[in-house]
Amino acid sequence: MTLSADAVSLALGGRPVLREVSLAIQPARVTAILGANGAGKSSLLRVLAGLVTPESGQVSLGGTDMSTVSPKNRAQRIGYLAQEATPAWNITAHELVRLGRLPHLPAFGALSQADMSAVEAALLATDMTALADREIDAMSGGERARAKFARVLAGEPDWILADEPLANLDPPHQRDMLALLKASANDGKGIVVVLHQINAALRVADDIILMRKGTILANGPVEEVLTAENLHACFGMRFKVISDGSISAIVPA
Amino acid sequence: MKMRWLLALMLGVVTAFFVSVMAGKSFIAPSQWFEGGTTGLILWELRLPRALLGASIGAVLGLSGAVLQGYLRNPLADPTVVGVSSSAALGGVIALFFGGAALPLIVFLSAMAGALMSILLLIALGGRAGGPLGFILAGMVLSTLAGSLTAFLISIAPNPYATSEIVTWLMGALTDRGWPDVAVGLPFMICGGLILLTTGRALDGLILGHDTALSLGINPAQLRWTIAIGIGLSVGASVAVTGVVGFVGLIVPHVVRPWVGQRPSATLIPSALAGALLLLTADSVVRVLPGVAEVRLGVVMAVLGTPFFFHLLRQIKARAL
Repeated sequence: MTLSADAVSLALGGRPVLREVSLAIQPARVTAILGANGAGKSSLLRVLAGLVTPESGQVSLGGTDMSTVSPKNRAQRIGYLAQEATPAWNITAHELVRLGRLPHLPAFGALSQADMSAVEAALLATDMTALADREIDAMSGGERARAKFARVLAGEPDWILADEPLANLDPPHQRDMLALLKASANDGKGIVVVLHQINAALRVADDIILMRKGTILANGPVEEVLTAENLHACFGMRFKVISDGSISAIVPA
Repeated sequence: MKMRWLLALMLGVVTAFFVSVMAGKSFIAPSQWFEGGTTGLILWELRLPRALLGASIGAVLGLSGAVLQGYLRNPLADPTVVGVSSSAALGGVIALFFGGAALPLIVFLSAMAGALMSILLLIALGGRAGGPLGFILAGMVLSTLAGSLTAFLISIAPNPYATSEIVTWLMGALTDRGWPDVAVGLPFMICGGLILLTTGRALDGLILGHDTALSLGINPAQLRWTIAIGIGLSVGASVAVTGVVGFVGLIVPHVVRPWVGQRPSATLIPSALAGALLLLTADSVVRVLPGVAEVRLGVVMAVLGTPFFFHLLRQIKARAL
């Protein structure tokens, strides 16, 4: 089951941000979207998540046209981790993670046993069980990031689309977040993640989508895409790709 | 834990209800309730409908405050912010202006028409921009417009008597309200209140912002409609029956949050109960205060509300700003 875009175009406020983008993303892999600021990374992610309808072209989820999938069904299958979503209210980690079950709940009534065990499993997977009753305002940045990721996991989606999940995290917490993404992919979920740091993508991704000015510059396995030529074309600056059999680091040249 | 607070609130509302029925210029003890005569008449024809209205108006104001604060993700929102109260008030004032003082039903219908107009404008004006910001800006436009039209009507009122009628009505009071007011107002308040109670889950989904709410399958347009209609019906009817009673919707959600938590859906029912409790208590106080004329409920709420609001403002400043 793939998540794919076929000649998708999108404009925001009259400015084109995606131009005829076509791609297919595979499940059980981490796909990182890289590109300069304003290249259309977040827009592509939002289109793939079904949050915006493209002006032309079609997004498909497992072969089904996304515009025909009901919002509830879509929400059950695609988890979206927004960039810098500051919670409006000071709720506990447990309450936050329970929000992930919203797509599975009937119109009225409490959370079922299955809902609660999904919540507990998500807290466990993110190492948040001990902090379940801690309020968001009392959490560190790293704890908050884990709680938000647990919220996505609790929905038990087939796909997780994360928009810059490393923003405002220090290196150890970045490492933890990347490990969570990788573990979810190993569980069979398709992970699509917008990243700013090339080396983070190098560590976590199986596939890379390089974007430039609303188009896809290169798309495929890490080793094929992250070449010095592609990176130069993408970011407009020279990089040195350090390789010892496989790529180990990418540094500005 | 949370259940205990809910039960305590319910008990409080029931107690306040009975106190409200007994309290007044003449105290009516339970032993006199079934005596008949003037005392019985006061109890059954005046005190009881008044207490019912007090409880239901307090409940819908508290509930709409909690819903709006959740929707707008802003702890300073209340029903007066979105213009429904002032539009309903304008409707009532128009009826009074044309001499409707003797026909309470006309005043009521006119106020409900004002509330309905405001809902339609709210959705039309706020709908294009989408999100909570469009909603709140449209509400501000509406409440400013309704407020200035109301002031205009007062300034050109045909005689001092009409002016006094309008100003008195606007101040909000439960004085001399009876069963006819309950009969026309209560059904709207119940309907609107029930509609608002359905928004809990969607409001929770908005905690992490618009995009996350969308990704959780929430329909923002439907939520906006639901809230506008629920508030239009319930708050519109409350204003139509009593005039504008401020501060309840603003204060009550803040009072319940320390006990039930900040999750919007958890604050809805407690806010309704606390609103009922607050208004019943305030209305009882108004009646037992010595003096020839009764102090207007709306005025008491403002006097009680302002210092309380400042206190809350100091507490929440750190997070909200």
